[in-house]
Amino acid sequence: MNAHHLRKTGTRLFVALAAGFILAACAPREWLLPKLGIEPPRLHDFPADYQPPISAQTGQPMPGFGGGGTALPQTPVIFVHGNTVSARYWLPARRYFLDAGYPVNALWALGYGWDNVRYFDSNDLSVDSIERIVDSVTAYLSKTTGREIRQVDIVAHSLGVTLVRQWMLQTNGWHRVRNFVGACGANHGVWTAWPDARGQNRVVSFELAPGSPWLAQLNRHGETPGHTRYMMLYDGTGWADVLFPKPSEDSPALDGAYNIAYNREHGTYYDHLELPRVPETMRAIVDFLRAAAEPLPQAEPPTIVREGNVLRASQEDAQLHCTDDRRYPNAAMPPVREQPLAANRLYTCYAHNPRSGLSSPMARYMRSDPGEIRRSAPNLRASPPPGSYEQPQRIRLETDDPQAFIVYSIAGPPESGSPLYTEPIYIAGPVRLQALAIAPDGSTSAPLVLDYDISLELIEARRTLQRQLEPDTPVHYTAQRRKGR
Amino acid sequence: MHRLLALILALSVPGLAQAGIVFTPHLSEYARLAPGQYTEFTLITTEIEEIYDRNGRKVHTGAPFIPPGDSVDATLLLLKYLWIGNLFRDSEIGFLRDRPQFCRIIGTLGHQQATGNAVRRGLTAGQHSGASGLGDLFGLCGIYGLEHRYGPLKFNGLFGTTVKFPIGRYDTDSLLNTGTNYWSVIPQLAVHAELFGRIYLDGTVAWQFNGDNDEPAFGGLTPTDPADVRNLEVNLAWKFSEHWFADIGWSYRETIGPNRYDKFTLNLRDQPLPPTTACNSTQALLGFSIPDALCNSLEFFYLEPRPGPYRDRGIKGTLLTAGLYYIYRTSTVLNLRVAQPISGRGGQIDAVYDVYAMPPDSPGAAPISQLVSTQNAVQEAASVSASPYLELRLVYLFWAP
Repeated sequence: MNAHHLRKTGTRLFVALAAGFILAACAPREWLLPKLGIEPPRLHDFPADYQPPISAQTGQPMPGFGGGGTALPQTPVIFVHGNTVSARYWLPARRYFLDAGYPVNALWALGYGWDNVRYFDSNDLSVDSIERIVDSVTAYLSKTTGREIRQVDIVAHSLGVTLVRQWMLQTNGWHRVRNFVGACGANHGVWTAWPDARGQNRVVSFELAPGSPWLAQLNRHGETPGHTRYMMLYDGTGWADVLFPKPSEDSPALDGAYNIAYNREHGTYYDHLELPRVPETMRAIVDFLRAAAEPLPQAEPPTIVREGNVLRASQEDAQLHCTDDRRYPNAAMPPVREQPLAANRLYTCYAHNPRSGLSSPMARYMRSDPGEIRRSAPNLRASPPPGSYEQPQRIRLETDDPQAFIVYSIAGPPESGSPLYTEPIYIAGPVRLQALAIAPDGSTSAPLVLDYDISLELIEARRTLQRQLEPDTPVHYTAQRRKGR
Repeated sequence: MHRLLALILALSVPGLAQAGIVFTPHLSEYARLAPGQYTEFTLITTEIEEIYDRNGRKVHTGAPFIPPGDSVDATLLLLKYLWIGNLFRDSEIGFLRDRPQFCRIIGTLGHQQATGNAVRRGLTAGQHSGASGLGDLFGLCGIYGLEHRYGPLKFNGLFGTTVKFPIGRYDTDSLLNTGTNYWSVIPQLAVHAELFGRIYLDGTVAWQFNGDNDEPAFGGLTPTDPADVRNLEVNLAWKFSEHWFADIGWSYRETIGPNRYDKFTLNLRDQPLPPTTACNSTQALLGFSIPDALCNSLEFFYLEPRPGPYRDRGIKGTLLTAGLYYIYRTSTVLNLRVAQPISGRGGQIDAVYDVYAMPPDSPGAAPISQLVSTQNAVQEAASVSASPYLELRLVYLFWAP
């Protein structure tokens, strides 16, 4: 075969290969391969009896890894990935943790999002997925080990950091997380997110733009609530992690956390994707996780008991951590045996048992004297009303009871420990907002359930070419969102 | 006896060296970028007033047959689409599942036009001197290597192969063309390195295997067998901030051996030539001369070129580039770059013309003399511009915030 034939053959091969790649580029393999009767490969390294939860985004069982043994001598670790990637991101960490002595049963990672750069994930839209992941892992391990697994350690990266923080906030779930390690999280914003973003990425951009109302909401009542131990790992030089240049190089740090600006402190140059996955930083993560005492295996968590206007923990050796300034308490607050309730103050408390290592959920209380005559339960109303909007909305909640406080959640029915309403709630994506007004005596308003749809599709439906020409043309908007939006 | 026949038509016009430009790297050209789809629009414009001759000397375009001042004005628009992804992720194919793949399609549109005397001289050979339209199509696919880190140094390799599909507009009677009329297959190895998170190095070695061109343009002054070309390019960038980068680059390309020309037909359109034209060596319009003995004995002359084969000495060119990048948000990159040739060698051949006293195709016609003319080869494969070009580039990421 001469050079001419070689070139011709090579060219044909290349053209065939290029055609395949271009087809793949235009049509994602998750769409294309099933059409050809082929199951797209996905990471699925779970025990046969484990059913991964359904992703709130894709509607499919989440890919990932976890489990595989029977021994579970320590708190399981759940790895939460960042935007546009999936559980495979944590495969190097799994190898490292196994080498460091973790049992395979203790290491879990599930892909919650789209796993595709065309469809950005976001915080608010993924909260449900994190809830499902934690529920699924703890339920499975409780079943297979024969003891209640009440706590997990979470190691999150990038979007996963703010996502897990939002999940803990919205579900009042701090007591379920013993350690939280966040690497390269946009806790105070990221320069790549813009508050006027348009397109499929806009929900996460609204959320994580520096100075965004969403971040203010996340951080407003304390950056490290609960008895959870926090470690924030990040670049700190402003050069190695492209997402946090100067002057926002300390954006990932949290007030009250063990903050490690790793590159700045160690003279290294690990970038955004490398930082939590190199041996040096993983050693630091493992050391941090292991520094916490393991919870007693069969212990029950404490609860908060109210006796008149005094709060106590339900267990003898448990104590209360309370604040009365609308901030969430955390481990830094001095513990007290009992907490009397003063007039006109709102207390936020949790009970923690240092012996068992377990905590109660957060709860809020106000003084209520028996002689007080109260009228009916408070009423609650919202404006603007639920519906579809083009742009993010600030939802104002009002109650007719001036002594009542208002809590809300985007992750199910709120309770007294849910996010406290102090300023209008910023809604950037399609969420179901539920709110409740709670009077000092514990009576509550009827739950308010509000569906807000901040929709790019609505914008597109309203601004069709036909409507430009004939403004009276009806808007065909069915509240159906395309994926990733 | 033989004296130099300096034909009027030897303009030597490089056109834009599309393949060379395509492979001159930019900032992070070979980095393992995030998976996704990227689009790029590059506008390149130049006024070619100078070229390199076969001895590496810089001469003005059309020298010595037209005076300085004329040029070839060329504009090239590159439309690029890049896909990066991994078709094999999560699969059992160990090598590929960890190494993203990429494909790039580059379409080109061009406009080239010679000016003034260059046009008039082209017309004497019945040749056009301008071209507009679709250029060749480049398809590139490849695979990234793994990323490695040693302290502040991070780097990755890349292997890719480009095929140039000769679909561009091509006119055999034109001095300039936007297409090349020959296939090329270009495997390349490249590396991207980052140092201290602020210094970016991109380099590549590419080997361009060129196919044959059975229909050369401009009377056979484009090679019928373009030589293969080796390319070596390096680009060094400095990051001032997330929004501003500057870079300098060095680019070298050289043919491996000579270009071959075996369909040389370039000739004057209007023949026979009267002695008043053919024998006046100072005649500015024609600029050649016939030996005095013939001039004194004949009333008309006919010229007939010998088709070849001929060879040039191969071509080469070295460029320095300097550019400035502005990154708007993360979705848009604006890039302004200037490229300055610093050395080169263009293609020239010593073509043989037979001189006849009657039409060469007449029965019994025989050459009465042979003359040698140094012809400057034309277009991308054979000519090398010595003039700077300006590049304006816009990169847009569909999916970025």
